[in-house]
Amino acid sequence: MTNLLNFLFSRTDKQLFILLLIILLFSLNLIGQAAGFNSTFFFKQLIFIFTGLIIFMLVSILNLRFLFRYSLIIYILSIFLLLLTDIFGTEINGSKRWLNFGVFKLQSSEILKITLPIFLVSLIDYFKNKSQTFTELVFLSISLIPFFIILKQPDLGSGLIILFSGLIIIFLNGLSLKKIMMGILGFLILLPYAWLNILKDYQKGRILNLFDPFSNPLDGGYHAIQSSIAIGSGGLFGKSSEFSSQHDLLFLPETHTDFIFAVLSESYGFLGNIIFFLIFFLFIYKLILISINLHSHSHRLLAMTYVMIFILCFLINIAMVSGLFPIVGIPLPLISYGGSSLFIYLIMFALINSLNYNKTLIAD
Amino acid sequence: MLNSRFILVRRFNILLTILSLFLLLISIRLFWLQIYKNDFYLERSKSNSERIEPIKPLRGLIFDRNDNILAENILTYNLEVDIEKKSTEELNSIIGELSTILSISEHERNLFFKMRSERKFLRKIPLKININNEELAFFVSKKFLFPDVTIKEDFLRSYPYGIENAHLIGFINRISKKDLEKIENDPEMLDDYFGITHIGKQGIENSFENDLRGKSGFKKIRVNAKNSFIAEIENRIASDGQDLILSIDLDLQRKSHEVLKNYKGSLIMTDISNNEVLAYQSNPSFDPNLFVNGISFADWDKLNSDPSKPMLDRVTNAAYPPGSTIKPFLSIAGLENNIINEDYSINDPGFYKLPKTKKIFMDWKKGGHGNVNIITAIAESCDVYFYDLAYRLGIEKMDRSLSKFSFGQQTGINLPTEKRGILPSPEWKLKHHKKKWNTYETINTSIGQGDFLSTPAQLVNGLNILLNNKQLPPLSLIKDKFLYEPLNVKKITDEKYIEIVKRGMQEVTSSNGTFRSITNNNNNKIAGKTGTAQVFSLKNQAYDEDNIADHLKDHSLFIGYAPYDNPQVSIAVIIENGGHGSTVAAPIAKKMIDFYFETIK
Repeated sequence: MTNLLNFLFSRTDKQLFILLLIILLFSLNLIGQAAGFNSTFFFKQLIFIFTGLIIFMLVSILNLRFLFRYSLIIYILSIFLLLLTDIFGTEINGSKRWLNFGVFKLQSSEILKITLPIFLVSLIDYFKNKSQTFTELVFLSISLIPFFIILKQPDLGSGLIILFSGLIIIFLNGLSLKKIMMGILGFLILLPYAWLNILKDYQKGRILNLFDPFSNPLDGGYHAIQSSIAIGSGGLFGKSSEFSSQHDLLFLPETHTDFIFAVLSESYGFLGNIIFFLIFFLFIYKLILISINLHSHSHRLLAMTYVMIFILCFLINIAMVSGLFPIVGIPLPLISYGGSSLFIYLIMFALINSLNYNKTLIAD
Repeated sequence: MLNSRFILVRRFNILLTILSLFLLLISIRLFWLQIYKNDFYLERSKSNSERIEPIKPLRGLIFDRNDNILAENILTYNLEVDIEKKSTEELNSIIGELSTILSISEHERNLFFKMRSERKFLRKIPLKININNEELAFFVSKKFLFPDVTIKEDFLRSYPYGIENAHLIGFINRISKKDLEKIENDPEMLDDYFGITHIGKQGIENSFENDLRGKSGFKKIRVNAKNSFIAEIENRIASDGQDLILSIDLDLQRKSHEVLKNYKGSLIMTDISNNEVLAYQSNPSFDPNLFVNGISFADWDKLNSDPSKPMLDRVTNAAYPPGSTIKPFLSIAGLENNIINEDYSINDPGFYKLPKTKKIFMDWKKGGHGNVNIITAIAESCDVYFYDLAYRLGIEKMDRSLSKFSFGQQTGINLPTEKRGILPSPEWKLKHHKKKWNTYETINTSIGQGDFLSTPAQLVNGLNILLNNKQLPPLSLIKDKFLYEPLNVKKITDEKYIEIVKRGMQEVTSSNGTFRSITNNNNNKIAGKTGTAQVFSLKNQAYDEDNIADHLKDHSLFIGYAPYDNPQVSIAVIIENGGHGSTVAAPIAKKMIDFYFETIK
């Protein structure tokens, strides 16, 4: 047993692991505050974290060559899971995002966050002799397939994250400035079309609420207003316990999931937020260092893409909770309650960890 | 390879820079929310979860001097609707559903919406007041259908002897828009009225509003988003209103309603020693209970369009020519100015010719009273005697003496409104008619005609001053309000003049007096003065009581007191268009005084 643990730890970056543990403890504390320390959410999250760490260990020792070799099959399996969700998925609040495995509900779109970058990165070597534009168009097409499926669920937020992970790879892989400009131009041209034909009314409402949440205080604006109140009332040091908090009194629902940052802001204030950011900054900094120092181009690309997705989701969630961004269902990475999201990020970090450990073994 | 790594890291740094800017933006946003706007959001957070519920004080009770209750609070059950965040359509549908199990009148519905639009800070508004037990039981059985409708215990103001005390007690009514403006302009008042729905509108209920109302309390509680109770934050108990004990005697008050029943008029009866009012009655009257929860349009229209004006308080808010009841006071003026004395007498041929003019003033008695002195002039109400007196006295001295008896001034009675009447004078005429005073007007004034107007309350107040020969505290409806004698009270005039006038008033009820009909029946030693006030002056036409429209008939007046050897109670009675003072008003006064000495005393 001790040997096994030693074996596992020897393959793990110590600093990264410790920072990860601190963040997960932070998460437990916040979920406990939001949902209650003796609530099922707290205990389930405890189990999720425990399971997640085991997954982290197991993935850390995974042979990555195998992953790259079967990346096409993994990608096809992921798409298949998405389609399955479309047929057999559990409908919650009008959208089909979860596959129900009894003990565990899997948000299938989360899997693409891992598998899509792997597939794209593994293709780079095959496309070495093809023209850059061809490669980029193929990458874009591969990214758009899951995007449209997820968009149909509907889950615009997750879909965009998946599409973005593809775009990040294309960008990092050396997309020319001319094409970037063309892309932005194309986006601007498509924007009115998307507004009129793709976005649903509630999604438009959420975007409009951003500008004037009080115009619709009971419906779409309610979350935005209540979470602003929760954050704003936290002040510098957080709200003392004599004032009842927003989440205790249920004014802000879903605090243990997407809006958990509001609980943090309300309980620990601006100072708490800064400390929270610092911990995350250190963690991300560590990830960046590891990513940059990987030996193979494709490995660097994969690790950097994961880091980018992580940072992006982190920032989007906070921007959304603090009223800078429309309310899209993106949880706060590593902090929000929920198994799918946690496992996905832990697998990502485990993969980066594994790439780091194996970098000397892989010939560049 | 090195090249591709270089590009990759540079691209990576570009993305990191963009995201760092994004983080900076978020940090600014958090700073703005948490530091700059912290107070605002803290307040919002508090108001999110705090609810203030008013605790209404109990309105003070009103008793008569013998502890009979005149205004009380009855426990009732009201149906209240929670209006928070509900549109008119939603409320209409709630009321519509309610009306399938209970009767809800158009009037109740209108009052509900009126209150909703006026009282913006109320969360719950009564829809149906004072539901009976049957309705209550029925509603409770169906309550689950109406989550927004609650039964609220409340107290309903009730006036057990409503119509007999209407003008005196007045009534409370729902707070109107106008009242609300006044209340909202005064933060302290707004506190006191928190959750209170009614306000004194007339009579004692209005003038003692601040004492009767008390102060609202409140309960500040913390609730969660589902409006469930979490904790109590603050609890300020309400302080109930003060009870009032009136100087009024309920039995006498009810008797006064009875004796006035068939007339349009009023009476006021007082305790001479302290100027406290024992009976205060105006007829026709109305039921104040109709007003308490908003009078219906039909009832209001009926009261308002009634030509006999039941809402008019004829004791203090109607002024009449005092007629001959002014003569005792004028006598004091003549005596103290040495125009007349006890021995002075004149011969009355039945008319008076104003010196230096051709104007002739008739005495009410054809052929005149013959030889009259001050005593017989009062007893027989000889007009010519007072024409002569007034002419020689002059209007200035006359006014100076009469104003000592508070004519032309408010009595200061503790009611919200009071007419001051008119004591005519050259200044008054110049001011109001832009004309100079004529001597003949002095003659008219001497018999309480012309522009002279006074309220019954002024008459009885003047009489009390005369009988006490000193200034008195204002007429009071509250028992024992002025317990101590004001120091250093100067006499109004020489005591012997008072005695002369009192003898004259005593002679009024003697076999020669105008009220001689009671001479053989005057057990309670009533003295007084009758009066007949012209409403309409008939030029060169004989006054024929039987052939004149009712509203042009003379007003019948009487002021009096008893017993004449030791005055205790005084009274003023006016019967509109009642004819002679001696035939209508005086007998009513006698009934009251007899009732007082036989039943009360």
